[in-house]
Amino acid sequence: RRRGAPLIEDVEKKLQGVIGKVGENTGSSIECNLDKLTAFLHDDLEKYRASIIDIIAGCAIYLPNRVTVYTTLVGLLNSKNFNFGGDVVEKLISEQQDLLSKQKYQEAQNLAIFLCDLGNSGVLTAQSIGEYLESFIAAAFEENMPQVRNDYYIQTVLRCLPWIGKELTEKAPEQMENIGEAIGKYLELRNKNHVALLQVWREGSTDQKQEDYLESLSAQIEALRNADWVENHIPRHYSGFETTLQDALQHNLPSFQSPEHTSDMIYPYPLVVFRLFQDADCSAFSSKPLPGDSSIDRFLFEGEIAWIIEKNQFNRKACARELLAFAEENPSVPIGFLIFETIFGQMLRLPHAPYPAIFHCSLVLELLKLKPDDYPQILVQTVECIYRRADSMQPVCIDRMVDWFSFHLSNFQYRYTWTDWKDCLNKDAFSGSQIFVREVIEKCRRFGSYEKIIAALPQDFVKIHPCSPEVRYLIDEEDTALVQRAETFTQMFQERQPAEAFLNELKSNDENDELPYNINEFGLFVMVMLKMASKTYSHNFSALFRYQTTLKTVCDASELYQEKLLETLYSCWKTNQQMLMILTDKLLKMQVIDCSAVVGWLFDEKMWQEHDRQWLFEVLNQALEKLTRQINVVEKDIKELTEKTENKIKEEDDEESDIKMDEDETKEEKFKQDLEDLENNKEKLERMVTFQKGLFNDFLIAFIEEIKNAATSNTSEMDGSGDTPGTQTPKFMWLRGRFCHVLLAHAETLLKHSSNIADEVFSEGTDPSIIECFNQFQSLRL
Amino acid sequence: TVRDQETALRTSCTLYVGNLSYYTKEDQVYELFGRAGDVRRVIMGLDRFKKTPCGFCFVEYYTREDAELALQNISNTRMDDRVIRADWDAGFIEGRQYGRG
Repeated sequence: RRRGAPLIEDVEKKLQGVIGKVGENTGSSIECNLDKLTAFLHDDLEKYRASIIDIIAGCAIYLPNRVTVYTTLVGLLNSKNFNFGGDVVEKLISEQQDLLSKQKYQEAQNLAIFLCDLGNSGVLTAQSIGEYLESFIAAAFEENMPQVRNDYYIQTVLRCLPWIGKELTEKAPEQMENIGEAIGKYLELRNKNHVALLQVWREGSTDQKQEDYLESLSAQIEALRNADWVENHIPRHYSGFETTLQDALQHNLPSFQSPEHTSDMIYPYPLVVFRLFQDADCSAFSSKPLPGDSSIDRFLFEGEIAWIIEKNQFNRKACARELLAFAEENPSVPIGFLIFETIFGQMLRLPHAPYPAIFHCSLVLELLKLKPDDYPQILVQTVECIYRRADSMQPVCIDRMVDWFSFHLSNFQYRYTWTDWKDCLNKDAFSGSQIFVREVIEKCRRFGSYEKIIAALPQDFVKIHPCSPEVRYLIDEEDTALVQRAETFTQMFQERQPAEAFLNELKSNDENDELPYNINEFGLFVMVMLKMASKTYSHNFSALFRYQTTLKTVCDASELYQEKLLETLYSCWKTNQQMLMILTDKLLKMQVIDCSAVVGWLFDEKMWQEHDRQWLFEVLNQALEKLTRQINVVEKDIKELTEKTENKIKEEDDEESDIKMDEDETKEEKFKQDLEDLENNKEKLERMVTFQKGLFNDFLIAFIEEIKNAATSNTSEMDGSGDTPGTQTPKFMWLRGRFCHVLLAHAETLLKHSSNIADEVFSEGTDPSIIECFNQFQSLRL
Repeated sequence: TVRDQETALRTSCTLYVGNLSYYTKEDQVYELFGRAGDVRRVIMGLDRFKKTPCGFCFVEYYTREDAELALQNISNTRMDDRVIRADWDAGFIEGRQYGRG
């Protein structure tokens, strides 16, 4: 925001005052505030015109939940000063173009709604708004464009219609007709492969609505249109000023110009509707009916709640307060349920949640604090809804619920009606509900302590108790030579011998040995070190740093040592997954091991037994993510250097080049250096990208092999459950879900080279449902 | 100087966390603060003489953004039944882990 003449700050304050007073029942009404504000602004309109327009544009972009307040204000000012209205419109159009070029799609959409709503406050003609929306439709029908781009334009039109549909139907029926028809046609032709992949619950496994967002929205708008655009939601402040506004001169909104599409543009991912509650879920707590799960009211409430969250994403307390105020503004609707539904919908959104998980976690805590009488009950209901459907929930969504719920319980002494969940104990080890409970317990253990969580659990949960997270030091006591060596290492550590001393000690004495260091002794060295450093992370880190040279020198000599190191780490800390994660991460950061060693280790057949656990996929995704981040850094460097050198070349073309001075020479040298750096970086990038592709391929092949194994193995021999085909077992479903999880977690990278991947990783024996997942994945960025 | 101190606070990736239980261990701090991002290290505050935990620690992140996220969302939540409080710290210097004796 601008700072300048003192009045501007007053204006800002005044505007903010209006925002604050909206919805407050005490004091003056919003209409009255608008009246006063209009008079106040009008007096100084000429003097502070540009600043006032800036502020209004800012409100239009960032306060979408107050659209009608500001469109009314602009309408009132326009009725007094025709040119002012025109200038606001012009500003908004140029802001919209700017936002689109910066890929700020949500904000640009807010402006479209605002512009349309100006048709209700007498600033713009309905005819021109109809044409404006038609130009969005035309953009969506341009040929050879990605579907996600076209979806965005269609979605924008649909989102505008609750505001302006009635006006258009009355005053621009022809355009309205065209728009409706075109949207129908668009949806018919549209590819919907991605929908199943983005659903929180497996298709067909639940009665929850989880249809494609655009289709659902379109159906709701259709229903709204059939109901003659009557909704109970939008506070139409301009209707109080009808007599003033209807006499105002109106402007024509120019057509929308879609910015040119380039291949590096990234559009929003498609969405799937998330509905958690049905009327029956809340009837026990509240006599107010929940708006139907495909009604426009439900959709608009969700939108408004999402806006409040967006605006307050950096302040959980303010966010909770505003959400509560919103609930109080709407006493006839069980808004509490809708708030929780929206928050959990965001937490579970695929591929990525819109905010960091920890924000949602702390927001839920704040809400309970502010409304201790009702909201804890709603939360219990939420958790029940999630638990009851856990068996068909996607693994990545279970992970997110585990992370949230363990954090939540750590704030409530791990007290919960655990016995309600006894049924999961008798289920398959790969069933979603048992995995959910087991992982929640594991993470609670990390937040508190082993003893605390065990004490909080009922007796019969012993079946899924975590193991005591102590270091395991397994040495064959009979093997005296081994015991002897271990003692030698122990003593060397106690004497704080330098890294080199250990290197000498580990050198292979066997001349036939192709490896420079004795691999078993290296394993022993690592084991002794981990044992001695086992007390805390600080002890571990200082041991790793002290012996970094030893570790790195040995591990650089062959991949086999890296494997040995990870195997040893696993055998020592098998029962402490947090330790495994943090130490693996540290070793990667210290570049003692590399990403491919970690991936190879996690997907080795020996580790399949851990594939029903969350930690393994966390380590995997972290390692892959780290590599991607490193690549992004190099890409950024290249971009900067390219710009720098191109500018330089341009500069030289402009200058007259025959006079050379000392200064120029140093400049020249610098330029040469930049060019060299650029070349080096490009080579480096190529190496890294090749490495990354190879890594993804190797690991996907390994994963597909494991899944194939699960699909073809017959379970009936093992558990006597009858002839369940492999592909119907919880294990298969779970692993397939993990496969989708990994694809989604690295969507940005994988979509870049997905066509090659398909050729390289799928073979004849690949399970067809895995290929199907992959095809769904590819259509995310169609 | 005061100005240096201010600059250090504005660019710091380290949080001072107070009101911890004396029984809270380092790995619990990692678990909780790891929820906001990549933790570089945790330094437990120790009693100057007894060398036992005395209710505070420093949490250092790799990035300022992660530290901000922790400050916004973890400060004033509970760990081991105590409402913990986080604030910016200018950065850990050896010796500062020793609290009041």
